[in-house]
Amino acid sequence: MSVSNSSTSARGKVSWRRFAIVAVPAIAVAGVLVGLTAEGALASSISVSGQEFTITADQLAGTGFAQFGGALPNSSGGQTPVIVSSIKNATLTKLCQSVSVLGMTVHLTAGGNGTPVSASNLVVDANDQTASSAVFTNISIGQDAGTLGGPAGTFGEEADQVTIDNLVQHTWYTTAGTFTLPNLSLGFGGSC
Amino acid sequence: MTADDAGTGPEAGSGPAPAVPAPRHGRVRTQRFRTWRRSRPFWGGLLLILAGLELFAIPLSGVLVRGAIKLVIYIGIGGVFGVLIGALLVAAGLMAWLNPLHKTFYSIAGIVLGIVSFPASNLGGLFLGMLLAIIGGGLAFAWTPIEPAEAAGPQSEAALS
Repeated sequence: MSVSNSSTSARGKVSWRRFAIVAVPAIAVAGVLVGLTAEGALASSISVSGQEFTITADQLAGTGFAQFGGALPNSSGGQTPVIVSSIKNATLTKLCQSVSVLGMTVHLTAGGNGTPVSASNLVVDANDQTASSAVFTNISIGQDAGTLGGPAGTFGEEADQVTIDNLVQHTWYTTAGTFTLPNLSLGFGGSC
Repeated sequence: MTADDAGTGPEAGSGPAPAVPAPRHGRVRTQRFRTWRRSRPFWGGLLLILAGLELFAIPLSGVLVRGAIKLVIYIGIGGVFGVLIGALLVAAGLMAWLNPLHKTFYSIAGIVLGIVSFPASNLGGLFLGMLLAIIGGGLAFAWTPIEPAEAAGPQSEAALS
């Protein structure tokens, strides 16, 4: 019995020295990346979907703005109406984003220290959007949403430039090709 | 001697097996699982798989909940990286389990993927996926099999590596 046991069990164990050999440099490299991102030197790619989260910003300025209505099927089988906004290039001052992940709230702030956050190819599906003021230049209201990438025959609008102050959004879906997040800080608890 | 042991091994396994009652069968199964678990970098592989699923879930949970293929196209390159890195991490974790001999390669690949996920996919799945991948990769890398003969002298094995 003991003979067969020792011959079948190719056992192993974790050597913590070996763990440190790879984990310490890996954490160091990761720390450098976090640092570069927090300085705004490294852009990151953001794509979140499926859970509601809150985005606030003191000011959003963007070029190449398009907006139309849409609906996303939600998990309870109904439809959630959303406002789809896409902005080619956007800068956001004092961005704050909070998401609830596994029951705890993660909140992320960036761009509060002089250098704003910049994002390219930003697409946001929001079900609620408020702002204290919004200024559009060269806006065409009532454009067919089909020409903007939305459902054809529905209402849409397009503008060359947009400036939105004190933006508050509840969004279901966000993606951006690149996101530079200067002065990044990430914490748990506390929503925006 | 060893041939003799090999001969008795299967015999002992196959002989009394039909006579074993149901509750003992469960114990045999957990024991077999334990043997399987101990013979490979189990926890490292598990953490790598979890890291991959976490990175996978953030861009894709909407797609999975809604079943909308259109959203995948809509997600674009940012979401694709999350899916790609997530899938590769799951593969690295599974391969560390299935092929423990090459765990060094899979664990290093897992760590590199975890670090790359920070700029490429939602800040490494809001840090969680990145940390899971680094810790899992580290554990898989640090896992070393103990040969029964070498168990007495682990120092020599450490000196070799």
